[in-house]
Amino acid sequence: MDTDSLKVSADACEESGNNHAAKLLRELSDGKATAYLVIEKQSEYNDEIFEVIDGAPQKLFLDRKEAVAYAKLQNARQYKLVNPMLFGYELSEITDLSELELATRVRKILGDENFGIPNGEDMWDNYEPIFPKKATDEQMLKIASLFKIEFFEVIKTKVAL
Amino acid sequence: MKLSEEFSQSSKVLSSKGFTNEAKLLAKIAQSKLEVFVLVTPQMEMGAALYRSSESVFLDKSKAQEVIAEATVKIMRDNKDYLYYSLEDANSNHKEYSSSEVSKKASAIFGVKIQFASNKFKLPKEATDEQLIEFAEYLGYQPVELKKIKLEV
Repeated sequence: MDTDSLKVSADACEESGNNHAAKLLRELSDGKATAYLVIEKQSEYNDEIFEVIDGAPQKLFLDRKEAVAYAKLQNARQYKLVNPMLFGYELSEITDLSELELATRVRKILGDENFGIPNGEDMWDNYEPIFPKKATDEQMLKIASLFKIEFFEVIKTKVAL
Repeated sequence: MKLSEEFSQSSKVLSSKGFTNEAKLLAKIAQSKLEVFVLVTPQMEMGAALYRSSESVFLDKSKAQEVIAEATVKIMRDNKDYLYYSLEDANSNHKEYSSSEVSKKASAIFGVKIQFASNKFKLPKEATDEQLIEFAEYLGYQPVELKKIKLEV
């Protein structure tokens, strides 16, 4: 593929009313095509807490909204696999909520009045996941939104031929 | 119309007009089958974990490999430490070289005698890009790698 044939192809797409395809081909030809990389971050244990660090690219999306939605869902699912309390020295590093407010909102989301979230000294003693395996994606999306730690991120990237 | 449907339709239009490559590209994108290449830097101390090193992705693997070669040379030249290679550098990449093997190979690549001293091989500063790449390949040294991922629509 050369830039000239991409431009002519873009014109042909535009003439047939396929504007998104035309835009992509034209941007590829101009070296200005962008897409959105979803990065899965890695966790590193520093002998006290887990730290989220840069990670590996997982998927690439043309549409930013699609990329953000995918990253949010994967992030929410990741919360089901960890104890998020292990990702900070203080509760304030993990969530903007107080212990009581966090527990209240999680219980409401899960519909379980007795659900217990590790707090106080127990917060750092539990290495097992804390949220129930049966929690739905919808519930986990709401729960993940209560926390600050992001296990997935979206970055804008250039697409080169 | 969904983006994937539009790309599929565009692919047919382009195919009918003889733009075979562009038609194939759009068809693959429509089916989320297009593989692209992202440059990543292995985080050596953690084995499998990866750092991303580039915010560019490439449709063409050979172009991505060219960029990797350039990046490898740049890293080797920018970091003075990388003009000194220990035997561990080589053998951390699952090679089983002896110091004399590496010295012999390096001397052949760089055209001057490469000594093994203080547990290091010192490379000549005037080494060409091609020589550095050849030596890096021999050692299995890959400061930048390619990761293949799919483009979703």
